[in-house]
Amino acid sequence: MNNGPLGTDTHFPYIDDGTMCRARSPNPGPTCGFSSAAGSHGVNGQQPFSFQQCLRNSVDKVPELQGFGIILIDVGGTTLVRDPGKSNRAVVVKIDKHQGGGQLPDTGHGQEQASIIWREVINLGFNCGGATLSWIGVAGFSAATPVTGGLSVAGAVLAYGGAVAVSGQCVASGVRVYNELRDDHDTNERMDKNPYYANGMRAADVLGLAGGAVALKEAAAAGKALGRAGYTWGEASGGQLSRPARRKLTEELELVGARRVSSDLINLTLKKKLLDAITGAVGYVGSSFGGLVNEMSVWVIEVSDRKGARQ
Amino acid sequence: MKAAGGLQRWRRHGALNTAILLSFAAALFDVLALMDLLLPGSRSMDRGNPFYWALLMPPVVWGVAASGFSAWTVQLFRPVCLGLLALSVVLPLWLWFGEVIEDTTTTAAFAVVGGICALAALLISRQQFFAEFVADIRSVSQPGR
Repeated sequence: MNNGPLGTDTHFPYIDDGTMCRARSPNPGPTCGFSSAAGSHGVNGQQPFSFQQCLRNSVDKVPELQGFGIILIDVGGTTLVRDPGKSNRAVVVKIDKHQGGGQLPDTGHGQEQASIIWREVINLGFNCGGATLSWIGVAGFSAATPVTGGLSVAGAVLAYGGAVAVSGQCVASGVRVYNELRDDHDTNERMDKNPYYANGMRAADVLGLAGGAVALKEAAAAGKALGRAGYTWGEASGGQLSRPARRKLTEELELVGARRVSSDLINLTLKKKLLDAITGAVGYVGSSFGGLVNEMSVWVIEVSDRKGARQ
Repeated sequence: MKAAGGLQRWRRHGALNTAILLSFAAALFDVLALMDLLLPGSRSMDRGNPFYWALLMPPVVWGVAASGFSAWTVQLFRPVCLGLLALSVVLPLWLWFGEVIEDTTTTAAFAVVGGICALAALLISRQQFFAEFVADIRSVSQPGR
């Protein structure tokens, strides 16, 4: 172990923020027999016994660290290797797999890296696809400004805010894919640990979901109104409608400003609502894939404090 | 249809929509503060926590329902804003006295901004137009009365 920073840090944190606890072994191979653990570490946080034992030995070789707890953070998860006990201090060893020399050999690295890249690429596709559809919808909505078609200004702001949020996530996804293609996984990890990025993405998740829900709700209401008027999406948005039909649809769609609006305006409103529905659906799929659902099962669980360490 | 058409003016009512958006912003910022408090660390950490789901949904549901003039959000508008305001006051105090987390700046900032938004929404909802809005919503949702 590099006992320089660890031995002198009296306020040893349990939280690894990526900067304080990076104790890198200059030559881990011969000391801990890492090569024997090759390919088996990082699976659900379960480390081979020999590796953990070597870790304990390594830590105890540093006089200032004897008796300290050991928390191991690996790609597979967090492991409490040794409880801090009464010392109330722990050494957090985080294994970054993309830092080059001195790290654990990893036979599964290429496959895992490819999986990460594909995940980021698919995220990019969903986020940017949703963003593109959102902005096409916004352009259509701008043209139909005189008629909000049942959507309140607050709802419109949420829908547009969702589009902006998804666009932001699209840009972030692009950057992340670029980083992964350059084999720069550390930058993405740093992004994840940046509070501004994390809070921004949290807010974007909320806005994106709210915007998508508003759009879907609006589209459902429009579909219901069409049903009441006896029309399908295709009939109402495709061809020319008779005067009585337009009047009826004007009422059902709650368009304002006229007793009977033009066919073009009805078409525009309906197309916009349909687009919003697609955008909302894509937004939900994108969020469930890239944001919440996927990351709940895929992302690494790290330790935030001593009590939270998982055995 | 006639009753629903009567809500048209509210859909573009500036003060009402501002109040709704402020209440959504208050919920969003308070939830971000709570996330900061309950889900410390990196983004990758909070994703594995079911609390993230639980905390994320209330502002989404509230924003969607309130912007659609759902009857229950109109009824609960003031209590919710009051609750958010109370949360915004309690959170910084808890952080200050409780020493819950080390870095309280972001959490407190979110709570304060959320509190300001909630207070603004509350003040707007005390104006006369809001009573008319509530009456209109009641007449739409309970036409028999």
